[in-house]
Amino acid sequence: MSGGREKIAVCGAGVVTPAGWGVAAMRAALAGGAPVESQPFLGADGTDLAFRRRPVPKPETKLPFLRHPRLRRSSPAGRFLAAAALEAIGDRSAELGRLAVVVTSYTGNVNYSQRFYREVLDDPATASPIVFPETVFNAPASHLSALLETDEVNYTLVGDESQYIAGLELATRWLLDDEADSVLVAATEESDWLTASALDLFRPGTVVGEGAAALLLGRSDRAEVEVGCLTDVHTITANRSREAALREMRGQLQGQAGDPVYQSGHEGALWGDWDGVRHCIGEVFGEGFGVSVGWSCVAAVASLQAGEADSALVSGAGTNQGCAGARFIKNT
Amino acid sequence: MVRRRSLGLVMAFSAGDKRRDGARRVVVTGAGIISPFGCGWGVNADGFRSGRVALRPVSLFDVSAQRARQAGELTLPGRLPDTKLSARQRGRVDRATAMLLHASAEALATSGWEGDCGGDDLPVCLGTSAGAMQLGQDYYRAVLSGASRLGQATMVDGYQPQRQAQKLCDAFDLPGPISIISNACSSGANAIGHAFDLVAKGRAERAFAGGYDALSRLVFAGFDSLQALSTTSPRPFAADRDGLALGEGAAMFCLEPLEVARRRGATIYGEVSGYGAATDRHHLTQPHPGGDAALRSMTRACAVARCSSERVGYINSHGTGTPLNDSAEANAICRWAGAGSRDVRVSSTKGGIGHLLGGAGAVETAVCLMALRGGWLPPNVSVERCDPACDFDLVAEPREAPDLQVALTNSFGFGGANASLVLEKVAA
Repeated sequence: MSGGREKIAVCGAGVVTPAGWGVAAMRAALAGGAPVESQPFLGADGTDLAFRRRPVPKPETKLPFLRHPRLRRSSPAGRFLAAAALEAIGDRSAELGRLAVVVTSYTGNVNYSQRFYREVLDDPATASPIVFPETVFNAPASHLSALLETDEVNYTLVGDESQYIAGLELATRWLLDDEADSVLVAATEESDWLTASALDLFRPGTVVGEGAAALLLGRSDRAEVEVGCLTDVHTITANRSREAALREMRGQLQGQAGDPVYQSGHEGALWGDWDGVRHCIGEVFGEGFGVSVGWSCVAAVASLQAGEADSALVSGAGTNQGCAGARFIKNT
Repeated sequence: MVRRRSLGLVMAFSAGDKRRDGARRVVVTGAGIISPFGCGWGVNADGFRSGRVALRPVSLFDVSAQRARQAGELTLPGRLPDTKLSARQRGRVDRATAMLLHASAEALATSGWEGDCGGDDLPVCLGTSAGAMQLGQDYYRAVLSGASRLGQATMVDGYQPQRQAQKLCDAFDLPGPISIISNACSSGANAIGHAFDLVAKGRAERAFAGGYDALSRLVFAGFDSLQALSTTSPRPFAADRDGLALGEGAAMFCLEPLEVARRRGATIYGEVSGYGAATDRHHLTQPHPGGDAALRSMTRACAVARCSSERVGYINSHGTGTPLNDSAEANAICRWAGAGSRDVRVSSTKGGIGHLLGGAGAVETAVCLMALRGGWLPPNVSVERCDPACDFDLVAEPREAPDLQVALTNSFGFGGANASLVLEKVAA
């Protein structure tokens, strides 16, 4: 407790983006400001499928966690998740105590899902029993708990971009209620031609991104960055338009003049009059679906750790479920 | 730190309406269910009480090349319930969403919340494993066949679980926020537990929660590929069990503080008094043989409920009928109950309706509430010879239980997601 309120500390951050594996690669790409180079999706026979993506590059060295029996066959989403989580935890594994996990995802393990369904259509009697369990939404989160050797509660929240902020709110609640000593809140998404073709129906020409983001939250007065504010998830319904949800989110966010804003990418003109620096994550890394807000949060935290600002805002404009935001502040 | 608006809504409570830990007592004041037994509380209570078996050959998709051919396939009512959905929206309701709407309509009608769900905040907490998988499958085939882009867009839109939840909100004018927990087969129990937490700790004044899942070819083939489906008839806890049957359905609940429910004279189906969750990291699809995580989730739920194992008069087990699940759960129950295990009355209802995956935890919560209200225990069908690990009182035949005051329901899922709920009878 401090000053009559308990602080929720950001104890660590990690990412995987189309710019590379880690926060440093992400920050370098954001500093440059140019979109990461995109590639065409190719069909099995090498034909150009007319959709483009910004894939996560192959890691420069072999990822040691892939030796873990649970990670060997995991989906790309599972591998991205593990890498981001391990970076967020860093050398703090001995300090985690009861570690809970919240993973958010929009598209799920679509690579394996479409592969398994193709096998079913071909011949259900020979569809792979190894692939099927990896199609389940919570498979990456389960692998992560196994990798981190934690038996504590583990939730997979499915939904649009707003759910990463919902995940942070859930983690905050668990910490305040002393149901966990630390909580890893992560988002992960993998690109796939099927997702790209679906997106093309609504936003033709959009380039798909992929990756993961993770924040490690805990209760501490010593952390460099703390969670200053989490807004409600302003639900988009028949009675509340997306624009209205966006406005409500901005109104509740308590941004202060000059705060940099990290936008997930679908805000439209919402921040057009803002006098702080605006970063549009999606323009650099592509359409990250649920992970775009996670990337934004990690970018905001990293900017505070680098001394670039005293507080930073994240604007999470969901596609079709809700809008939610966060404000992170430097602990002075 | 900015907290949710609902935190500011602190109400006055009498001593009996607060728990000893200061949290609020949470009760169910509306409930709705659709399962292979039918649509509605009464037909389902009759089915569970009598131990009816509602499994039948799958007709929704081709299973001719599968090892197993039967499931708890339900018959949807001829029309959707009356809601605020437009004709266009109604025309695009998929099978899973239809189940969700039927269960929700009954829950809201029985709660007295109808017409009073607006306002700023009414958390909608849903559990599902597959969402609208059927539409995802349709989309995949449509892309490969070059079907019209408009048709494809409709499928993509409907496939997303949050769009199913939004249809629910639009249908009944629910403001949200929406939370969708997808923890495989424990999703429904997690969603109810999450809603219980919100209301008990004063973070919401009420919540609407439950779970649902519909049969789909991908998931059926998946369980068949794992050889987890019974090729005979599912018989949980039988020594010769050979797997599970899949099923489909939904159950939804209105949760609110006991004080509020009493003040407005609501029908109280029962109290949700405890929720516990834990993660089994033994294997992606196999439980720890000793049931370690199951033991933790049961213990935690009872700790929250401040309830000893001796007080629990009935356990609706996860009891899928697979060799590995049932022996692990039996071990967990015996460890949890200790010396008193032989007095613990246990049954699985999956032999009658199949395993409803994301809907299982919700439907089995409904079964516990039915049992508490009616004073009976649902039988575990088709068991002739019990697994020797079941050192407890397996309820193999319909049984009256007028003494029943406390029930516990277990839900365990792929990925080691374990959840338990404690439910109690509330004195009039």
